[in-house]
Amino acid sequence: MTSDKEPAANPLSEAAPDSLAELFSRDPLKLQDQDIGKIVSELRAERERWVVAEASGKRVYTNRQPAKPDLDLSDLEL
Amino acid sequence: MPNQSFSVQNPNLQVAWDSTSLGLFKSCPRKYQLSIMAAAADGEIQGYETRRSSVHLIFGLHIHAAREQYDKSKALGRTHEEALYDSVRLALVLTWDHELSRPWNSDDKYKNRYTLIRALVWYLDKFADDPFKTVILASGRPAVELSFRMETGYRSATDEQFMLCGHLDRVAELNDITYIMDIKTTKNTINDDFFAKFTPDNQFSTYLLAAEVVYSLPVRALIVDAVQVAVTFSRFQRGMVTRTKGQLEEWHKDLGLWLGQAEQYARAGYWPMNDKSCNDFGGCVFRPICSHPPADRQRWLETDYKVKTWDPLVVRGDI
Repeated sequence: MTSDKEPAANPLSEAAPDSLAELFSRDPLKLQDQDIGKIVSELRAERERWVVAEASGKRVYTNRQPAKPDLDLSDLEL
Repeated sequence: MPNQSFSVQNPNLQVAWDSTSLGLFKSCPRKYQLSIMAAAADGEIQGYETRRSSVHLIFGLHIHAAREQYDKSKALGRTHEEALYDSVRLALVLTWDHELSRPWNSDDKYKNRYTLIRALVWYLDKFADDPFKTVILASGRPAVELSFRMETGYRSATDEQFMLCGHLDRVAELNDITYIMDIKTTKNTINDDFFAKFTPDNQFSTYLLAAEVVYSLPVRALIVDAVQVAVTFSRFQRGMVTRTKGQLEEWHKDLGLWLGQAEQYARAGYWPMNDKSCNDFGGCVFRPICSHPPADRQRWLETDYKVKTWDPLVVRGDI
């Protein structure tokens, strides 16, 4: 499920703060297969959430910036 | 080791061209000279590049390398899951600064370490049952990062053969037809315009001509796996890029004229500036140099840029 809150600046903090961020901060040469497995699992879960949200037409985060509203001179209260 | 891509008779003349150097030359002869040969000294032919590599370039190289690892692991008989793990592990290693013991810091909210690994996992899972099967060479190795070189049929005034060379990402088969596969990443939405920009396109025309000449592929088609990398998701779309025989002949004819021009500049030891391309693609990396008076440029190059060697004849994988 996708929440309606704005995406965080750091996607890692959204995805899985406890596991992914910690695993990503470790020297990859010292990661075990099970660590890689956790990363893959988390990312797969994220994909499932995104696929469900997109299919259901719910708000899905995209990289699009919200369009700026047209500005009328009267808005400036000059 | 001397740069083998240059003429032994005229060190200004490149005789082995890949799509990168040819693309630079077509874009702006001066940009080509600065990138490929402006730092030549003591017989070494070198050019300049910015001190900080483009995040797009790094991201693209890593995703290609990780995809290559996946194919190599699969060719060794490993399962999708095992090959995926190998691929993720490599991507993590490639994006780790071992000297500073910290992850690659990209500063780009779209293309960074996290979105790279995420795009990779989602992409490889999506195409886990890919109908396009990577060709396995007679050596038993998968046909990935396949180096090629071919004679262009054009010769220099010094009677040296001009060569075309490069590396194909991946060669795959579907229904007994062979295709070249390539990955392109973008932060923009993938639509018809995205694929339309590859026709015409210098890089893909090079690949398709090489495929026809070197590998005798039955179909002039290239499959592009477009990877949209957004902040919170990745999306994928596969598209086909084709060339007719006439289009390839036209490209080859143009190539002869471009090579003739390159030889003319090499003889003169002077590569003119195409000041109509300075602002393309967000601005040329050498625009700050060209904006200085000619007498000052070398000093700025040595201060703000680093030296690199570009030798298209260096082989990556199989040939």
